[in-house]
Amino acid sequence: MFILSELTDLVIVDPEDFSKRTVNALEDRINEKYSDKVVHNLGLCISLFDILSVSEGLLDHGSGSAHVTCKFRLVIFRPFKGEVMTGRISSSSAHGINVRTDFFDEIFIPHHYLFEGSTFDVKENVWVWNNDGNEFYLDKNEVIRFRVEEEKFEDQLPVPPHLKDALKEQERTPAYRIIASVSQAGMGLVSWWAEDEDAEGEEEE
Amino acid sequence: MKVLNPMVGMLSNQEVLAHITAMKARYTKEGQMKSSNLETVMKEVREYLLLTPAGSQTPADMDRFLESLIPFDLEKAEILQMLNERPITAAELDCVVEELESRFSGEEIEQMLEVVKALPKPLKAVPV
Repeated sequence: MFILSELTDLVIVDPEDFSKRTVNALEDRINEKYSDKVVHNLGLCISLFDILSVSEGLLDHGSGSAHVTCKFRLVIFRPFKGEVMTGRISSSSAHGINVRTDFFDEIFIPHHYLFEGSTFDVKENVWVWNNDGNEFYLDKNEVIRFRVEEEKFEDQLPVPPHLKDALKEQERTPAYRIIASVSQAGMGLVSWWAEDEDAEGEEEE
Repeated sequence: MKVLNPMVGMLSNQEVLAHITAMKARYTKEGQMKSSNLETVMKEVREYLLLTPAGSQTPADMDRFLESLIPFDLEKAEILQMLNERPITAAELDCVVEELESRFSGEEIEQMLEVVKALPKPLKAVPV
């Protein structure tokens, strides 16, 4: 689910931060820039892992800020293709199911990646898996296990100022999107396959 | 900004959780201020991970687990997923390990499930 990536970047430390220890000032600036942000073709940055090397600081003659070239490693969220993970169902539509983990919203399971024999119940807005006559509901807020199939990175261009108000947040394609599948035995709601460990007996389906 | 190496290595959920917990402790101890995006993502990742099997694992658990799996000759990705997801039924294990039935005998599958069950159970609710 998480990987380590090595990056290098120019970090600008303002004079007001000169009282901090160098390593803390750099960590704060790097985290400010990267935390909770998606880097194109890399993944969702969580936080700084460690700093590998730091160059000498060059002072900017205008503001007095120190420009430091830093080599560091970041913790990145980027599940690999085929990875199995769990998340919560946030909403369903005829197109498929939206799943979110606490920190990442853009996981989508298209209808063709669901179990064969799944139907969409329009009245209740949920997908139902019909298996041998048994109906299994994929309800909202349930914990679901899925497999990552594809990832889509969208390079986002800045919005021109005159369009900023018109363009609502939801209309922009997300920078990083995961397409997942729920089509193998063991996938789907975790409660369907859970085995009661405390008791001796098994509780499947 | 330049990406020198997009994939230095993979991190287990337990390692990420340990890193976030250590960061949090360090920030409280030194009285440093966190930026809001760091605070948000740290809180959300921590809450997510605490409810997964990683939430109750220690580095010692991980070492023991890795050692017990050496005789099975599994792929790195498979071992990582077994550590993160703790599949305790054969159906769940089949999702994580490719060609489970053809690579391992029924007895070996039972043994692997025992190793996985030895990992601590996930928490039911986030501790305050």
